[in-house]
Amino acid sequence: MKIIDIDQPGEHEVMLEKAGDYLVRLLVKQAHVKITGRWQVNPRSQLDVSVIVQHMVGENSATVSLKAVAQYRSKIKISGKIIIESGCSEAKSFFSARVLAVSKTVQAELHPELEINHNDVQCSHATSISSIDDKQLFYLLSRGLSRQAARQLIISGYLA
Amino acid sequence: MGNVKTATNNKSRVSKKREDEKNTQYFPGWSDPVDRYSHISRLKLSPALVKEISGIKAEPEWMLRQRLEALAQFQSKSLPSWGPDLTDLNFDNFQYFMKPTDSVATSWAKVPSAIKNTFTKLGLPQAEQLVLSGVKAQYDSEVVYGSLHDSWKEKGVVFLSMDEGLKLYPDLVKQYFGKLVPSGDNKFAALNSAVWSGGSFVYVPKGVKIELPLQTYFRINANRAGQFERTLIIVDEGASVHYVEGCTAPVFSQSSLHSAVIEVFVKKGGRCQYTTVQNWYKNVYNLVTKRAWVEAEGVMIWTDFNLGSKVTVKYPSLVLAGKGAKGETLSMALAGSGQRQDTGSKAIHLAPHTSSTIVSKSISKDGGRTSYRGLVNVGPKAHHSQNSVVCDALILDEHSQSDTYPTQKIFQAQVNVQHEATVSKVGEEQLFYLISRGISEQDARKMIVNGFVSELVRTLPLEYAVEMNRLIECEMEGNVG
Repeated sequence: MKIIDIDQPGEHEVMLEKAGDYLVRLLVKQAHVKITGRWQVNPRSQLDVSVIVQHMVGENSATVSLKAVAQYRSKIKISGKIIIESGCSEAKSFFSARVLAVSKTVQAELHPELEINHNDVQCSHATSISSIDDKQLFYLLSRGLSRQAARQLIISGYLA
Repeated sequence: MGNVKTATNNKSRVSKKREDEKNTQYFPGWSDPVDRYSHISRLKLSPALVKEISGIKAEPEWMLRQRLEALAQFQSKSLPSWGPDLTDLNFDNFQYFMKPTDSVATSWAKVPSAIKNTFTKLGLPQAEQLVLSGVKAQYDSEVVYGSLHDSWKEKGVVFLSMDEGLKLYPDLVKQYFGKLVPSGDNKFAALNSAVWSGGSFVYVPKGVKIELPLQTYFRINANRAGQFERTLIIVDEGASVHYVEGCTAPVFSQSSLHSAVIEVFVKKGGRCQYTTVQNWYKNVYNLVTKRAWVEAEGVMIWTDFNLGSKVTVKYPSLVLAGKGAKGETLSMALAGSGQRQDTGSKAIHLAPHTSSTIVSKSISKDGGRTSYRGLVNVGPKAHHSQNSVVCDALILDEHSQSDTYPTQKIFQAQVNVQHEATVSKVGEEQLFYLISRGISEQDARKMIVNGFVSELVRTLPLEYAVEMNRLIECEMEGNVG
């Protein structure tokens, strides 16, 4: 597991390049961290990511945004956990994980979890798994794009 | 359902005497003596006990065999490694079979007076006359009273205790019993399958739509009692029913155990709504397995309100097995001091164009802990399926805790699956607004909590909605956070 300690106040950005297990700890007040992950999973490949955000003190914030595009026969597993220790007043934490399935034969598993031990916080998580919107595809096809190009455009837009 | 009287007006000495106050506030907290019971088994959990229960009920051979198998499964399974701590549960400490009367009475006049008084105090006979199509009253291990409005009897509706159902409709029971929740499903389903007693057996024939709800009222009366009801509901094609259960127990210092198994079959185009108003006393372990099988175009709605009990572990499940089947779970949990509400729902999509919605609202206060635990599983054949899960948690003070553990497993891409969860406290702005309008802080908090759950309470029939609001207010009494 890779541990990322946020021990300085201020704005932080973390880009998760590789799959794997991450633990992000917020050790100081007034620290604001943005954690982003974008993956395009190749056909017949797997993606396994786990991100734990732990607020050790209050008055800080974390935003996790993970997105993945699943292709033919790929498997995706994303776990996310927000832990707010008791006494962490005014901690804010948000987690989102979104999967776009572009082939019929994909598997996706999402485990977003919250463990909140304090009341004076704002916390939420959101996940979704969806396929390419037919309307978007139709719009692009009607503009003369090939199906392949249209799909690629939608995928790029999704991961942007 | 009866009138909840706020037994205490004493709101000032909140922190000190909170526990005592709770006891007096819990209106259904009395108990009746057990010396007139027709049979109380002294046996501990063992094959002998299972044989005794089955013998008293004069059950067919296959049921006894099934019970004994289930007992072996129970003994070989370990307690779940996740969720609330159940290591305090001592299975030798419960009374497994307590039969209060010899038979199910069909009129209140034939019910022994002590038991009748209990149900009268809980308001059951009034409700039966006014707002229900049929009633069952279960007291410890067995159903003591049952009725069904004549107009429904004529249409072929069956509403019996599970024991009567097994006697009168053995083939139907054999066909469905344990098919959806097999005894090996989990440790507590195995326990229930081994020592089950009481519960309801409902069959709604094709096309019959029962307008007013059927209700069963579960009452634990004896100390250390174990209640293991078993309910089987079969809604045939195009039929519809709303089944309601309510639960209360007396105030005892030793724990009771309530472990039920509920199986619901909704056939093509049928509709079933199953509403639970669980208000056990805060010493009851409530470990329940509920599952519904929904065929094409069928609709299943679980409405699950959990206010009482020490520990509740319950995830009403939807198996959407037919094309276009729909499921909905509306779950509300309130955890106060010493309580752990581990609730949620599962939706298993097996067929195309199925849809499910799970809405969960939880409130934790005075050090209580609520958890949402859920599963959404979309199988490879369930294309064009939809699911949405929304969990909102309200934490009223800094000692309380709320968790969310949802899981989504998708084996099919043409789907739309969404999950959202939020955790918040009572908003200072909302509170300020109400106080500035001349409302006391306590009333303002009650109003905000009532508003938080109103979306779910609205789904109840009017009488229960009024009751539920009152119960929540009662729980909120003296809770100036």
